[in-house]
Amino acid sequence: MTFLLDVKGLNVRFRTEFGLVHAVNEVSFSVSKGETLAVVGESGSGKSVTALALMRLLDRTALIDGEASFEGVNLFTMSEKEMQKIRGARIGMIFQDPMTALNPVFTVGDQIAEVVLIHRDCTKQEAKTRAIEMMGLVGIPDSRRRVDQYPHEFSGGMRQRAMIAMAIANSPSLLIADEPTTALDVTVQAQVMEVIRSVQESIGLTVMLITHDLGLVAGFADRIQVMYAGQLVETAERDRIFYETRNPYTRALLDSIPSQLGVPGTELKTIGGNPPSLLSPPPGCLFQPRCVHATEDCRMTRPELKSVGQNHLSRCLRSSDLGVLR
Amino acid sequence: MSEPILRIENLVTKYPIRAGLLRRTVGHVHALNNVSIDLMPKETLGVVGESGCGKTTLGRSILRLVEPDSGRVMYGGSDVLTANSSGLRGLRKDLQIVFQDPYASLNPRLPINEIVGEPLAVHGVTKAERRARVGEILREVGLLPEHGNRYPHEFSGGQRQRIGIARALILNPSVLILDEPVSALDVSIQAQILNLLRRIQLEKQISMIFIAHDLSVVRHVSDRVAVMYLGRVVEIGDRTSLYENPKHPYTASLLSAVPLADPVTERSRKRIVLQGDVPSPAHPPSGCEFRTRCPIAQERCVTERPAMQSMEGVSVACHFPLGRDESLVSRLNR
Amino acid sequence: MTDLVDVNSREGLGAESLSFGRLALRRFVRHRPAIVSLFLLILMVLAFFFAGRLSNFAFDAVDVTKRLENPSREHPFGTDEIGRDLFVRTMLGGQYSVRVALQVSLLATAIGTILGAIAGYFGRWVDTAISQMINLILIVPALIVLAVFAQRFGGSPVGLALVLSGLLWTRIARVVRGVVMQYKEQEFVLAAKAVGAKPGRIVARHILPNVVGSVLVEITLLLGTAIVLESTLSFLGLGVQPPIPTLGNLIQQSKGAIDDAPLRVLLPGFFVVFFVLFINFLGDGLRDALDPRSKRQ
Repeated sequence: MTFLLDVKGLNVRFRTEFGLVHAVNEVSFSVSKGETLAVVGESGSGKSVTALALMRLLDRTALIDGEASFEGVNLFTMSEKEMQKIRGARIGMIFQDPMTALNPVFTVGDQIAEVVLIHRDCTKQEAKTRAIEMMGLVGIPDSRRRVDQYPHEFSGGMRQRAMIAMAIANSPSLLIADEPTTALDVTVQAQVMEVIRSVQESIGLTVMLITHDLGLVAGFADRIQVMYAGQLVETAERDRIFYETRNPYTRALLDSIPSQLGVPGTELKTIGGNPPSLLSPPPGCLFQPRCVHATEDCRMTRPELKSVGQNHLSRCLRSSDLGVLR
Repeated sequence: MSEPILRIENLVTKYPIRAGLLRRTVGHVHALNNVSIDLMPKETLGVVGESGCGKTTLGRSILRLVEPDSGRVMYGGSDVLTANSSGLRGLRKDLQIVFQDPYASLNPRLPINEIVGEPLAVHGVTKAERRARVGEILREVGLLPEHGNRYPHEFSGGQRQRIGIARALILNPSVLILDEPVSALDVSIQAQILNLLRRIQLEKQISMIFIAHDLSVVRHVSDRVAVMYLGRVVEIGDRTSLYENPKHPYTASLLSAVPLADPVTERSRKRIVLQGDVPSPAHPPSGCEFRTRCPIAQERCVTERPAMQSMEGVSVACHFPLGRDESLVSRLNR
Repeated sequence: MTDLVDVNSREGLGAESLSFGRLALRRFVRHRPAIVSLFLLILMVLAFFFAGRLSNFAFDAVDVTKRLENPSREHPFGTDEIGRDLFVRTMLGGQYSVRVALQVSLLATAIGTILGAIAGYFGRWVDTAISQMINLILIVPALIVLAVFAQRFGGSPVGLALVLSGLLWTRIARVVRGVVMQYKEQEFVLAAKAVGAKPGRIVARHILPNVVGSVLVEITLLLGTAIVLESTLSFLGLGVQPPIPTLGNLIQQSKGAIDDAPLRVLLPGFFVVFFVLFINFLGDGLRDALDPRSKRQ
């Protein structure tokens, strides 16, 4: 099988006045053509930093190393100029806040057409036609009229659709969606996820969905990878993550959601404490201080990501003796 | 059945829309439109709705942090809305609020002792007694008395929310309003706070109004639930009936939109995706507010606003409510 | 109880606890450009006020036998067309310029803070009235109005300070109004209201302390602006009139000598430029240190 995106040994560290913050540590993963990979984690887990590093959108305080081969080229070694040809053309990206991602002084249509003009040799009229077409594709009603409207005339959900239209206007092969619905109401979230799904089917898009919401992932992802404190802790095909959980953090995360299927009013299982400081990560397993299964060994030895089943990796010293966690 | 501890009657809160050079009022947004809710002793009433539905305004109007335009909020035989300033100060001892943003709700320049002790200072408690009570309450919310000398920026989001809860509890209120208390927190921290609130309620027998947009959280904590849309309550009832057999098409579609963290259930679900966005509260639709997005709206919904009616233990404002064991999907397929 | 355990194992809760003010001070001290600038500013101001006394010459002592001399041991900055000592005149000029700037910032801050706070806290028509007044002052071309008023009242240093304050208070007022409006809506102010705190307590404990930082930063910028405006007006002959020297009119008087004796123009100019530069660094440092969102510690 060929991978569309193959990331090996990604490290992202930020220089701060207190020293280096290890935001992403030795993250390796790959995305196959056409699949939806969800990257799940809480704030500070490094999920968004991973995406921004791939797009090379981090500022100068970030030190990136590793390898990211995308359609046969390494994203980290190419020049900024070559990277500009990839951003918005081969990889599209949508962000959490559709309110700030659009420029208020240009019409929505202009902004979509602009992205087309940057990457294609075509006339303004052709670009605008493309913009209208894209707006139709993401379900903006009456796109011929709305193409000339300004962002403030769009509601939150419509703006996020416009952002998707912009991200896919050049038929990219990969779409990175960073918390695309976090700022939206739940009924609008449902619409936007439908749009991403239908676009994915109609143009054969590969999607990397970054989110904290395990509910969203349950209905949407093919494969899930869970991150904690800058590390990948578990990755597997969707149902395995939910029903054959092998990593104690994943289990704890699943347990702390007040589910609509659970018994109301009961004590929720919680993860005690807080994530470790990324400035000076403790030795041993990073989740160990909060883990109910931790032993003396976990305090000393940093676990590796190990195979625990078919395409199923988990970072836990005790994965073989703990087995499937429920 | 006992008497309600707090009785909200026909509450209306309008915000003026100002425009032009002289900021003249050109219209009003009805953030709350005739909202009536009874809060029973020791219960948790969940209030859910999407942005702009008025749920935050509801919490603030009850305490007169925004001034309602009409209606009554009856507590202990007196009306909060007509109380004079000293009467209001007395009432605020009993009615307290926890805010959403654990970063914005604590003054960054004051140490925790002073933040948590402020309610006592305002109500004239001596400094020595304040110290003791602050230490005690910090312990109750899972912090240590020594933390009192520290400043808000030294704490994580979850800990700050505990501090906000301590401030609200220190006057021993009988009603606690929680305005999105966990929506700014990560799931694992959210669970800690929800457990804390549950324990406090069991120990202190407080009545709570829990305002949130997350239906799963509301289901977890509430005994009864009110669903709001564009400034009105559209359905209110006990948790089990409301979640298992919603009567209002809005409640049904809201529930259907919530993704569940269970792939098998997710695959078998028939989801109703509502069209469009919530209309602007400045220009609400005629008739039933929900009709522009309602999949089962009819002619009558345009002209006539549905009144609240009781059925099967819940109250619902809809001309064509879903019947017992009828789902929105089955209604649509009929 | 798990809750207690989780707090104890918390990162970031070190042994010492710092108030906001002490944290800000610590951040400020670590801001190297600001500290260096502060030191140099103090040095410069001390020189303006005391260095003149080291010389044997009075600022207005004319000695026509020693006209247009180059710098020497006797006259470190040289002399002007009528043989007055330029070192003494420059120091005194700096003194007058700094005095004007300080007077302007005191007065403008007082007016601006009061009006800005009133506009921000009470809102509605009070805000409209004050904001429109500010806008009016800001839209008229400042230099022209200043020129007119300065010619009428600005001959003396105090008069010029009054004229400049009348223009510059608007900047402080806008900042204060904005900050007050922003904090008025903050949840911690609502929280104080919710526990029954009276308006006086809310303003004193929760709003004003948060205004101080922004005002301090604005004052530094104002000092810089005041000195530049004073120099500009005096250079145009509209500000403080000779024989009282200011940095501005010193440059004006020597401008003809730019080819023969450039130092005579450059020296007072140098003081203006560096004063403003250091003041701006100081302002930067204060801003970084006082920003409540600042993550730097």
